[in-house]
Amino acid sequence: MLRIIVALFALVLFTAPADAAVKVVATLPWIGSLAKEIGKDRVTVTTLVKTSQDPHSIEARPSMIAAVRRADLLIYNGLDLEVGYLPILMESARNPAINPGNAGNLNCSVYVDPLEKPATASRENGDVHPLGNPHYHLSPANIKKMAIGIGERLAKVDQANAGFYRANTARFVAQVDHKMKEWKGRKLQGKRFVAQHRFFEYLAADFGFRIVGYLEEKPGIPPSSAHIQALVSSMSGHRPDAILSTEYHDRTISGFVSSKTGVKSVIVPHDVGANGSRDWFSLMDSVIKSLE
Amino acid sequence: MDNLSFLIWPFGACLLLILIHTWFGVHILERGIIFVDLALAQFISIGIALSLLTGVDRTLLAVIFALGGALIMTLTGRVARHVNVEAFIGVLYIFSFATCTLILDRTAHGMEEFKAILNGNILWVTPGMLGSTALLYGAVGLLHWFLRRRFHDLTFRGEGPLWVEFIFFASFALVLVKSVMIAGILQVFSFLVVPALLGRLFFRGSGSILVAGWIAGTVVSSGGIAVSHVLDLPTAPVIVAGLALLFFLALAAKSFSGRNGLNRV
Repeated sequence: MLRIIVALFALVLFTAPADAAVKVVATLPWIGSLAKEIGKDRVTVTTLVKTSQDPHSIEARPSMIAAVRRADLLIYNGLDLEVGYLPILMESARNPAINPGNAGNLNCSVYVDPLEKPATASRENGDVHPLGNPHYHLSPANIKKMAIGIGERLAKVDQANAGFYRANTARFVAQVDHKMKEWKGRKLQGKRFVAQHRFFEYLAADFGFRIVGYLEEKPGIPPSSAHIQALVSSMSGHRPDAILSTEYHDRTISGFVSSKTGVKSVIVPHDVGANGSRDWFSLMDSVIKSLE
Repeated sequence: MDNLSFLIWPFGACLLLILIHTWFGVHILERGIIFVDLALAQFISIGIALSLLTGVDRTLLAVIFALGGALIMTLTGRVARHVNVEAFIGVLYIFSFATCTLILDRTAHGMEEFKAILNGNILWVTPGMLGSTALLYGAVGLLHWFLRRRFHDLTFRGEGPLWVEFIFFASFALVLVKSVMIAGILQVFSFLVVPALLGRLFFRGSGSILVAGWIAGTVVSSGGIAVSHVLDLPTAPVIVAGLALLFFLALAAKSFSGRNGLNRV
């Protein structure tokens, strides 16, 4: 029985193309998009999480293990964002090239100065993330560092094309600087928002707006009535510009608070693919637009 | 060929899960306490939530709550005069769920880390996990082999001392801790109930039901893993849906064949 099944599987796999491109596995859509931007036709990119899904978890499919097993380079967000599946996926795939410490393992968060990182990582600071806020990709300042990091790593893994990757990285960074001038002119400075979850902090730091309150202090745990009451009364006193949430968050609470206060609720696209965005730039265009 | 070897571990895990859960399923169905696994798993989750809050060893707390849950289930015989046991199980489930949420409210990651621990996925099974699972299931299987007559009397005649009842639920709870961590609650529930239900459609003796359930479970698991690989679909839902579909088809075939109607399911 098993023999027949394995034989059937093998038949299917023989159709897979074998090429010389660097095989990249990215956990999140924005990482995959960035790798493609820099590697172009010299890389093949497999992205594990779909845009419509919560970045903290994945729907496990057999192709994911196969992709990680064959990968030359694994690029991930880090700061424990993928802790629910990545360690175990790597263990299942048993590909030494992508183990931590090797050139094939790139944790993007090493290029970030994490926000909200507690001075002492103890359980007493029960309400903070021990490594800092992991949602750093909606930040032009960070994305430039990511691009350089990914470019340098590709150059290391595939030395024959090092010049190609560095040139693409330089072009990407220049485009971020160019777009940043346009985005800076969009008057986000000084705006005040209430957010569903700690998702927009790096963006706020880059563009000079403020997050003045949160609907949920912890993901997945409904807020207490006292918290919502205090939030609603403070919002009525000094109205924020909008309530921000993302497509993968539950919108019941934001809808409720919005109806109580009259402050509009805005769905901010959270990753490449949302709102029809094709790459990180069109994602940011639509993020900035949603905040205006 | 080498590319496919990783599917051997999930397949092996499916076999182990089917072997033990069909056996428990025969008992659970006969007793009419189908949702006991959901309630017990959720009760054990209180222990896991507590371990996230306090930093106390997760396995230790899970085992303590598994034994506590088994004790509660053992004593339900005493309250059966006052309340429907299935209703009691339902209340135990919602109580455990609410308690978990209240505990997780005080932890750093809220639901995220908790969900990751609890929603094991059959695809991520590693040789090490498979080994420890085989060890635990093997020990429980052996224990049940020695006590099979006592368990049989308890389930099919309602006769037996409380300690046998406790051992039944304790071993079930320990198996559940392991199963849910490697395969997630959805797949565990379907392996517990559906193969035994399929067996009961066609057979009356518990031995025949068991073997029929094992065969059905094995066929659907291997088919499900193959389909999930070829079409690149999430593995666990394919297996669960496939198993349920087979049950519906068998039920329809049985209903329309006109032969002596349905057995009690």
